[in-house]
Amino acid sequence: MIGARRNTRLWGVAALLCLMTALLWKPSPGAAEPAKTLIEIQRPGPGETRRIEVPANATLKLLFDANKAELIVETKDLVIWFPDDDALIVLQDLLLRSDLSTVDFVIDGETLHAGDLVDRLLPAGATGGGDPVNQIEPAAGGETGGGNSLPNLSDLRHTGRDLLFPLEIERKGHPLYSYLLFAGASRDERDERARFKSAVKAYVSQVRTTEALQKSGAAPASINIFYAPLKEIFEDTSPASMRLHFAQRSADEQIEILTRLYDHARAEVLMGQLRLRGNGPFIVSVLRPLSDGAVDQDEAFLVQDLSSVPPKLVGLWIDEFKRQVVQEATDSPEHLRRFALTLRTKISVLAEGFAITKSAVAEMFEAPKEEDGE
Amino acid sequence: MKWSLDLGISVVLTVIVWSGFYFTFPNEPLGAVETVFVLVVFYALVKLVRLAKKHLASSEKANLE
Repeated sequence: MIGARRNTRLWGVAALLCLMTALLWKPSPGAAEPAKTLIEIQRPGPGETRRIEVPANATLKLLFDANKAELIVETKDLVIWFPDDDALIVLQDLLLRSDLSTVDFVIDGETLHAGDLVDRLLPAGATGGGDPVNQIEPAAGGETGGGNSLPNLSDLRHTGRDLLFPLEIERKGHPLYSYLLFAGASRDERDERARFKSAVKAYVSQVRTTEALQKSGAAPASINIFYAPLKEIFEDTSPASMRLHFAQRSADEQIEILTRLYDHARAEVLMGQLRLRGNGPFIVSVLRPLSDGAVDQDEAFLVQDLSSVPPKLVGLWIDEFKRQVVQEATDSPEHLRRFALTLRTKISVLAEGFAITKSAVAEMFEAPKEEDGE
Repeated sequence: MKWSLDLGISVVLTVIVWSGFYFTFPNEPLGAVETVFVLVVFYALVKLVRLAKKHLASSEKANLE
């Protein structure tokens, strides 16, 4: 009986030792480690977006001047952005990987573990999928790498427009992303169409292009990028060349193209990310690209519903939007002006009804006169 | 001639409002129909105020009697 109990105890100790060994055992780095896959990353062409799926045990060798690039931590991707020509390298789903420690970067001959790099870029306590945008100062080129910063809206000074072509993702590095969204007019709804056309007209004529602002020295971090989704102008052409083609057109032609080829489907998808109801037009602003996913309830966003604004006043509301964005950033209240604009819109809406009534009454009195004349 | 006085007050108020909007939003000043609408609203308001005053005065007089 005593021997049987001792045997059981021995087996128990042995099982415990096995379990502890299994838990503590780690493959030693060296001979047992699988060979690293070397991936050489060239700089993409201007405006080009290159997506790379990084395998486990990979060494990513950057074959470009790292001083000219910025690293941005997106929800699940690590993005290398070239502000000069807006080229992007997207390292897809890199931040979701459990084997991130097996990936290395070689930057200017220096080897950095991907895990260390990401830890330095992410703010303390941030999880991979949580924060909207974590804009990162250049970590490459030997600069102090810990320069991580949350979106700094106090730098926001301008609103610049840009187009969003199908399957294209938004440019990185902007503190605020705004969109002109219109899901399409209801059948025979002439007013909705007129309102949208006015919005497009104001969008083209009152908002400068992001490219023009950047050429004039505005940093991307100071620009609220204002997108309008557009269908492909030509097939089999890159977004960069379509953008160039669009920019070369006159303002009237741009308005015509935008009205004709506006991507209502994409607009509807983007509106869905904010759970907006109705056709719009809406102007929405969020702190991160809307294409990244639905906006959570605790995320900050701004919506301007233009669906009840008379077409001729849409331009004023776009102006107001531009002001409001800077005002939000600088905390300078302009409530009186906003009240005046709301009042102005109400007067216009009511006066329209007044005019209809007036013309109806006038017709009532004019009709007998015509009959008398006959 | 009270109606002309009411109209005069309404016109002055409309001019003030029109100028206020003009200086705030010079690109989109009030149009003709909108201006007439504002004028009609002010005229109605002035008339209402006058009627209210008249009503108050008559009720005070009745109370005193």
